[in-house]
Formats: sequence, structure tokens, C-alpha cells
Amino acid sequence: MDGNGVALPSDLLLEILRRLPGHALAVSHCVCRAWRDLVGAHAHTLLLPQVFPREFPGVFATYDGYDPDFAFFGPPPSPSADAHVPGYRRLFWDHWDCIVKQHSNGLLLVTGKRSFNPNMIYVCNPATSQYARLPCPPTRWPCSVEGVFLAFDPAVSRHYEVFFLPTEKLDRNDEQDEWTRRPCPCWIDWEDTWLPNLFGQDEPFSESKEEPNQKVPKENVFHVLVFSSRTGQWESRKFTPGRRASGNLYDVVTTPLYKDLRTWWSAEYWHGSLYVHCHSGVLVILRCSEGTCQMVQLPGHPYGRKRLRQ
Amino acid sequence: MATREAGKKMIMLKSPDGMEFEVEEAVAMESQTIRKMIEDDCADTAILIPNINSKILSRVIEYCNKHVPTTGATGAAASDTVAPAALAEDLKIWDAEFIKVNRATRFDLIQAASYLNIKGLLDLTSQTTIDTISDNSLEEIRSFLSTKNDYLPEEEQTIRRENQWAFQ
Repeated sequence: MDGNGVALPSDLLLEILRRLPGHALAVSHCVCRAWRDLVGAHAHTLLLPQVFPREFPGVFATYDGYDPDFAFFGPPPSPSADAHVPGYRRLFWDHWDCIVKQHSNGLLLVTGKRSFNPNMIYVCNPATSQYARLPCPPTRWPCSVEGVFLAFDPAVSRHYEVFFLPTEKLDRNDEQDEWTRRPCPCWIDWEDTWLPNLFGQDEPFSESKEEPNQKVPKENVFHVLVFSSRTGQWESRKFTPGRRASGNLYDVVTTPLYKDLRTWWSAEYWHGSLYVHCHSGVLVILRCSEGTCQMVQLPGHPYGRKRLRQ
Repeated sequence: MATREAGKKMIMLKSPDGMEFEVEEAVAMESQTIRKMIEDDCADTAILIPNINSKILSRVIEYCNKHVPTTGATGAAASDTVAPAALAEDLKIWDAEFIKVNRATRFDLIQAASYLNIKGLLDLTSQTTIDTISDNSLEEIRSFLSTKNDYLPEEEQTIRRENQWAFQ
């Protein structure tokens, strides 16, 4: 016994723990004190052996979120160099042509600049300076790769996914006249909207809140293209309306107020769900394991309620 | 047990309890540790394997005999007629049989595989433990590993809450 409660030396136990998926590692925290201490002391090497190979992975900095002058401050890449002096290095040879679109738990989604080549999309690990270029999806990229978001959670999987959300409005240019004549979508007043607990347990669901004509029509299914680093391919995934996905909000999301309004603004990936902030203050939650999609009107939206009431 | 054949170099492995095992060099070289010794010319007559008793060592040799990439080492007379896929399937079944041992033996095998650096054996022996930790409840994990829960009740409640997502 090595004081870890198992008849194995700690380094062998670590060898086994290292092969566990993230959730099992978290469970093993709870087995006994010795395991908690062992896992705690090696947390980052156990969780991310290939993502953060060094003791201190470094700091990634980008100016204002959209400046190409992004850089990584970390230990020098070669072990022979003085490991105590953090090094500054740029990420790409052609960094002037790139912008960081989004980041997710240590990985970056990097695209080409609009003036250069907006169709280049890379997923980059600043800690290792490794990057992978995504293949083109089966459909064309929208302008400035809108609606493309990275999802990576090392606690769940060592693979990342890239979501390409539908940008239907961009395909409506040819029917613009009809589109501008469309009546304003029926807005939901956020003060009357019940906000679900977004992070986990569902609160009791009250039938009365649902309007009678809220039977979600079939076309409200979200078709999302997903690239998985596990398969190296794009695939189409369906997200059916979850318990909180009113048809009204679906219309809001897919019918922006004016043509050039961006649909998708930003996204965060948390515990296997992608939380996407889209225009008019609507939050779309894609629950990947269930294949469902929830929509919530957030309090206070960017254009003011007066204007929306017109 | 392997028989001495012309042209096949044999290696003597000694366990600390005095047993000697004569194995083909190719079989012994399944272990990266032994391979390194042989390549560095540190293995003229016999190699002493410390920390691994004869019971475990004989099982390790049994594994290596089966897994050595070979032209019929272990009496596989029909190797010409068996398709590679069938061979792999056969190995899988053999592995599953091989690993049906008690916990103490399995941990000894893990240690031996780690010391001798036999990747396949290490994968095989640790997989059961990995599966157990991945698929079972906390209580089952503890009983499998005969580990005691030394948390105070409120402590356990806290740590379970912190890791709640993993239990869902």
C-alpha cells in the first residue's frame, strides 16, 4: 500500500486515473481522501495531458477581442531554454491575417480576416502552438463565418466540436421584398417570461404558461452542422424544441429586424450544452446529449423594447 | 513452454524466488525493458527480474508467448489458413480468459506490466479497473478496490456536491 487505499503504487494508480474519462475522474475524487489528494495534486496532467503538457501553460492575450495582434505568453517551447522566463510568441506565421473569433476552455477558434480569406477556419491550442484547419462544410460559409462556434470541455471529452448554426436570413436575399413586408414577430415581454434555471435542474413546469397555439410546428427543428475532431468530418445534427422553446422565439431568431443584423453573437460551452446569445436578446441553448434546443428571452435586449413594440 | 529450436536464440529469465524461465528472445523482447537490456548487451546468460515473483512472471511469459507477432510460435499449426481478423478475435477471447484473476493478482500483473513495459498487458490489466471506476457507483468502486470511505458525512456531502455533474 502506498497510502492511497489501493494495493498499487501511486504512480501506477495515476497511470490508471490518467486513462479515465473526465466524469469518472471527478467521481474518483469522492472515493476517499487519499484519492482526492492524489487527483487534486495532479489535476491538470490528469485532465489534459495533451492539451497542457507543461506545468504552467501560459497566458493568452488578445487586444479587445478582435485585434490580430494576439500572442501567447508562456514557457519557452524547448526544455533546454531557460524554463523560468516566460516567452512571448505569436501564434501563426500569418497572424496579421487572422482574428480570434471565440475561445473555449483553452482552445481558440481562429478565422481569416474578411479582407484576406474569411473561409479559413482553424482550431488552435495556444499552449502547444498546434492548430488544425477545418475542412469546408458541405454548404458554403456565410459572410465572416457567422454562427460558427467552438465547443470544448476537457472534463467531458478530449475532442472538440465546432457548431455551424443556421444563418437562414442570409439566404433570403432573393425574396427580400416579401421578407421586409412580413409582420413584426410577436414579442414576448421579458418581464412576464419565466426564466428557467439555465444551469441544470428544471423547475416544475406549469402548463398554464404555454399558450394554446404553441404546438411547435415541425419546421422549428434546428438543423446544425457539427464538425467533430473525433471523426474529422461535418455532420448534420437535429435539435428538436425542448420544453422551453416557444414558436414565437423561433420566429424571432430566424427573422431578424433588418437584413444585416447578425443572428448569432457569441456562445459559451458548458457541461455539454452550447449557450448561444443571438440577436434581440434571445438565448438559444443546444443540449447536445438530449438533442434538444431551448430558447429564452433574456431581460433587457439590445434595441430597447420601445422599438420592438413598433 | 517454448522448445529449443535451431536458429532461435533463447533467453533465461530469473525471478527473485529462484525460478528460471527459458524463453525465446523474440518473446522476451515483447517487454521493452528486456528489449533494451538485450540491445545494450546486458543479457549474456540470464536476466534477473526483480520484484516479480515466479507465479506472476510465468503468467507474463504466457501472455508474451501468445502475443508475440510470430510465424507460429505457440503451436499455431493452422496459422496459414486462419484469417488475421479471426486471429485477432481469438486473441481477444484469450485475453478475456487470461484476465479472469483475482484482484491481488491483477494488481501484481499491472505492476509487472508497468515495470517490464509491456504496453498491451498494461492496457489489458488496467482496463478492468478503469471500467469499474467509469461505470459503477461510488460504493461499488470502493468495494471493488477495498478502499474505505474516510470522509466525514458532511465532508462527503460537500465533495459530492462539488462534483455533482459527474454523477448525472
